[in-house]
Amino acid sequence: MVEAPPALVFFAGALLVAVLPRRIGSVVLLAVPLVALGQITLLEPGAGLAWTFYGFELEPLRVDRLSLAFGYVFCGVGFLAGLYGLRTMGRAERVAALAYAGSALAVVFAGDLLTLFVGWELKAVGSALVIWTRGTPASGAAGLRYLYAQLIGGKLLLGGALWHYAETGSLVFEAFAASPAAVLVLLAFMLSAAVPPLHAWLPDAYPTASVAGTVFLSAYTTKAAVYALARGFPGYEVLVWAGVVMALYGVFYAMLANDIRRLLAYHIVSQVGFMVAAVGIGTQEAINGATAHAFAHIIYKGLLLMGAGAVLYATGRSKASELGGLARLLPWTLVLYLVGAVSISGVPLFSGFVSKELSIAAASLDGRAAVVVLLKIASVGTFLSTTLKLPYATWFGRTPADAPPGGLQQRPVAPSMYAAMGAAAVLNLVIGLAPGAFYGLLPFTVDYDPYTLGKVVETSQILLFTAVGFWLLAHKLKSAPTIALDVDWLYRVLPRRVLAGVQPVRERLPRPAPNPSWRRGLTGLRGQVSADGRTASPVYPTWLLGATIIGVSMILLGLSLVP
Amino acid sequence: MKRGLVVALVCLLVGIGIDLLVGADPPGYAVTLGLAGCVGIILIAKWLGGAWLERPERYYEGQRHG
Repeated sequence: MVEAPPALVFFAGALLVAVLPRRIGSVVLLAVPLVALGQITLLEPGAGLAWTFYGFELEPLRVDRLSLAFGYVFCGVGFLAGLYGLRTMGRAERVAALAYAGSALAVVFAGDLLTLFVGWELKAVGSALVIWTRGTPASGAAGLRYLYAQLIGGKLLLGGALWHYAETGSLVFEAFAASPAAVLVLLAFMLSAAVPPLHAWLPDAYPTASVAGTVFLSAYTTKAAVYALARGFPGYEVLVWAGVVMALYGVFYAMLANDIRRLLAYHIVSQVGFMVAAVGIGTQEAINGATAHAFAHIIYKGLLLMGAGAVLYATGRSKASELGGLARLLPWTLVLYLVGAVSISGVPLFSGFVSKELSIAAASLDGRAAVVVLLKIASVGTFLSTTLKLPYATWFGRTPADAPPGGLQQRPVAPSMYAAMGAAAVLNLVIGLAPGAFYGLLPFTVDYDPYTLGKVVETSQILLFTAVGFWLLAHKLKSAPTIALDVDWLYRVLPRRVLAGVQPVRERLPRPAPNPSWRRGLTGLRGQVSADGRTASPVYPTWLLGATIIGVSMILLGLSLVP
Repeated sequence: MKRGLVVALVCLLVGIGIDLLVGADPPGYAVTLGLAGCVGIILIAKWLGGAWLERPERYYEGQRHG
């Protein structure tokens, strides 16, 4: 009974939450991750489950130390995020979140490429549903763009997996030899890990989800991709530099973000860069570093987004230019947020220090001085925007002029939110203070002590002098109501511009004959086209999405029939 | 601003002094990385934003309807 995919626990929980009354559903929401965690702790490395499906040798459960490490933290953060969202999450969001977390676990314990693909697609749909359940126009549109990106990644994965199967006759998910099929799979994983320029879905969509939804999102999609990269592509040189670029790219864009949750979303890109670079180095130390950093990142990033979400929940605002002076109103949120902030910045005694140092030491051991320096510069930027700029703009400074008469705070932060943030803060401290036990969870034996005098002094000095630089230039960092264009401009604006250029030509064409009846039906499906040529019905986007999915599926089916 | 630069310089010297005490190699590496990294990131980000990337908040809504 123990040797079953842990994802099933989450899927069963999602079904229960869908039908049970809300109060019992709350218990299920919290119990499911704990039950799955209990089950995972009972799994021994080497355990597995084989299944023959239409002649395919599948392995829906494969346990080793790499999958176990991700399994533990996926369950743990599932509990914390569920606790955080206990007050705010509606039934649909709870179901979506549990299904999403479960499919991420399915990915992590998949021993073959077909199971991996199924988990990958469920994860895409589940996470899009999490975004949509916020129910705002922004989350609807961003969720759709997000789903497009993820589904394209899924099709790349399927295409690569089938090609790989045709070439090797094996569906086992293990390290890939370089081949064109492997390139497709690599692209799918890189898209999901948010490697620029395939990353824009992340900062576009994550800040539009609900407060708890963003915590769920930050934990699973990119980290499941880091796991998949560590499993499939360790030692691929391209990943080293892709990771370094990510780490710096996220830092610069975070400096330009006004929405505090978008700022933190760009720091997901940046932090995942550390992991991707470590996977690219590919030594045992580096895979340990990537795993450790993914583990710690899930907890401290969850805490940061919980803190920013608590501000949004309490004030209804998430833009730095509309916030300020919250230190007196939300002091505990500030303290708990700061625990996450010093953790992500790699301050000694906190989780990010012991995990980041492991990755950087692996790069150093591999003789990559340039990578080490560039990653340390990225750390400077992380400290600068998450620990100095964001709290400065949110909790300190002046209360904004447009604040309501009673102050910015509209409602108190729910006790369950504080409980989740407190638990995440304690976990960050435990990892930072007792790295030995934490290192024991990693895939390979760790022989490393982060707390030597030299390393502590060096890290402290880098961070202190970042603070000096901030103090010198703080006047340049005033928040303004702006956004920064990113790669998503290419698909959000450019096609419209191109079409607008084509428009006059189209208008000169003779008008088509009145619709025959079958076309009228199609128009009804697509929604009413208003006088200015825009569609008014919300059915239209889903029609477009469905048509794309069916079209791509037909092409792939056609390809798969070619001998 | 002048006072700020003096404070930063004093901090730099103290930092390099600490490096010499604990035998960090090369002395001043961490303090330079922290200070130059921070100033560089702020200035480059401001330049990128001002010259290329920053748009009004409702930019994308304007693109859709305009």
